[in-house]
Order: sequence, then C-alpha cells, then structure tokens
Amino acid sequence: MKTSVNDIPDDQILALLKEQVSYEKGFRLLMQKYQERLYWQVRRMVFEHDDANDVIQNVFIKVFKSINRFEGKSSLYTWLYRVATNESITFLNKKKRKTAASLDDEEHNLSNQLKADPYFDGDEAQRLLQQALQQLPDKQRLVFNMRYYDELSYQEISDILETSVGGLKASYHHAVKKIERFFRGAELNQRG
Amino acid sequence: MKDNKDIRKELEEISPFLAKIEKRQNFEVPKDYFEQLPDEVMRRVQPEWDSAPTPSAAPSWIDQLAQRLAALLQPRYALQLASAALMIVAGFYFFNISSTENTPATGGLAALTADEVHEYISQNIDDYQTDWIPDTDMAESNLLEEEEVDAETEELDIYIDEIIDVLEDSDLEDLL
Repeated sequence: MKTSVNDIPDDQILALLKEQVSYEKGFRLLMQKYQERLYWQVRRMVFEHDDANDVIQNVFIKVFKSINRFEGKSSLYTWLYRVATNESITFLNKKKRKTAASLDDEEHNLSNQLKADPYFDGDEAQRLLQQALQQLPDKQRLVFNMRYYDELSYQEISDILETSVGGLKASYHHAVKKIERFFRGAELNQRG
Repeated sequence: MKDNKDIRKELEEISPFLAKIEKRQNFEVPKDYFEQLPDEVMRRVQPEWDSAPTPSAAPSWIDQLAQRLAALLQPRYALQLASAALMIVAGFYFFNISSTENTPATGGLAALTADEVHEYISQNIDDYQTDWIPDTDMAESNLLEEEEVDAETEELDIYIDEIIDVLEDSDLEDLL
C-alpha cells in the first residue's frame, strides 16, 4: 500500500527541517502536504488563479524563511493557515489601493471576471454565490470560507485568527444573512 | 464528522435558502499545477538556500558571530555603526593632535645637530615671536648660553681688576 504525503506526521517533517542536510526534503514534504489546502483557502479569498499563485508562492517563501519561529504552540496547519491568511489580506489591501486608482467599476466587476476566467467552472447559482462573497468585508468572507468550505470548528478558526469564538459566530451569521439577501436581490432583479 | 453535521445544521438554521445550494469547488487550476508548485517555490528560494534556517540545531559560536555581524551590517544598523566609527576616529585624531601640540617636540628635533638648529634659527629668526621663545627647548639652551657668557664676563672683570691693581700708573698710561 503506497503511503501518501498526507500520511506523513508533522513531527517527522519538522524533524527534517531541523537539520540543514535534510531541510530541502522536509520543506518539499511540507509543501506537498499542505499546498492544496492552502491554495484553495487563498484562491477563495483572491478569486483569480494568477493572484492565488502569487500569494501562495509568497506564503511558502515566508514559511521557508520563518519556519524556525514556529514554536509548536499550535498545530503546523494552524500556523500555515495563519500565514496564508495574513498574506491574502495583505494582497487584497494592496490590490484595492491599486484598483481604486486605476480601474473603473465595470472592469472590476467580478461577474465579468468569472465569465472570462477559464478556471471558473460554475453555474449561475455558483456565480452568484461568488459575487455575493465578494461583497462581504474581507474578514467576514474569511470566516465564512473557513466555516462553510473548510468546515473548521469555531475553536480552530479562533486559534488561527486569534479572535473570540463569540465574535466569529456573529461574523458567520452576518455573512450568511448578507449572502442570502444578495441572492434575493438578484432574483428580484431578474423578475423585474 | 459530527462537526460537519453541526455546521450543516447551523447553516440550515440561519439560512435554509443557502443550505439548499450545492456546495462545490467551482475553481480549477492549470494542468499539473500542484506537481510544479514546489519546484517553482524552490527555484525562488534557491538564492537563499545557503543560509537556510535550521530551527533547533544549536549554531556554533562562529555562526552566531557571523549572524551578529550580518545583523550589524543591515542598512539600518550599518549607518549608525559607520557614524559611530567616524566619530571615534575623529575624536582620536582630535585628541592626538591636541596632545602633540602640548608635547615638546623632542623626537624629531633630537636628531638635529646644534649647528643645524642654529642655522635654522638664524635664517628664520624673523618668524619667531618673543612670547614663543620661553616655551621652547631652544630658548632654554639660549638662556644657558647667556648664563655662561655672563659667568665669563664676571671672571673677566675680576681678572681685569687684578691686572689693574698690579699694573703701575705708567704702564696704564702706555696702554691707553
């Protein structure tokens, strides 16, 4: 039976990262084990593949430089997730500053972007859901993605974002309600 | 699995409408993207590979020293370090000059002969100010010579007096 990289325990990867001679092997295993989960987390935040590719590469470069700061207080995945979250938010903030200065609303319309995106494969409902997500504040969208797509517990989200569980529950509730209102509004527009 | 059910139940309670929408992954990635991503990242970190961090391996004292030196040579520290070094050098130079001015110039002048010194002074005597002279070794030597001259003068006076006493009036008239 072939062993998947996902079956390799974090302790084993971290042990490889402690020695210079095995550092590259350990780092490659770390990337192979977590790259997909982290990529999708980033992709749901930034939407476009090219942007997600830039962000995820920056995430791993930061991890490469700062893995010695990982103290083991949280799980390795939680720590990686936090790095990816911070990078995504930083990227979005930079992009907002750029687009505010250079692009008009039509060009920045996510509906058009999704229609033109060769890597988006969704029906109208999925397209609306992505549009609704884009209307959310970044941190609210982050909480929604972690709960809805990644199916993390509130405690796990709390560990990653260092926010209270009560606050996270409120954020998720507001996000769901806003998405529902967005759908209702779109439905009314289609009828009208 | 229990948590997944809880998440679904929670969503149904908040928004039955949204709970009915199929949850699926709508985005795709280019072919072989995840197979190539680790190589792409490794290519980008390769320049820093030689200084790859090792989390818990205890660095040798040479490595620690090199790390501290490298930290000091960071731009934000290097400027401060260069400024401090410049101030130290300037301070050393200033105090060195001051002490040189206050120290008798014995080293270079000691190699000169007395004739050379006298020749120099006689040629440049107009450059000297009288208030400098008491502060120099040459002034001391001149004063000593004057004392010697004074001593010789006194001896001559005594000698002359003795001669005068011995000489007869007639002899004095002849001399004059």
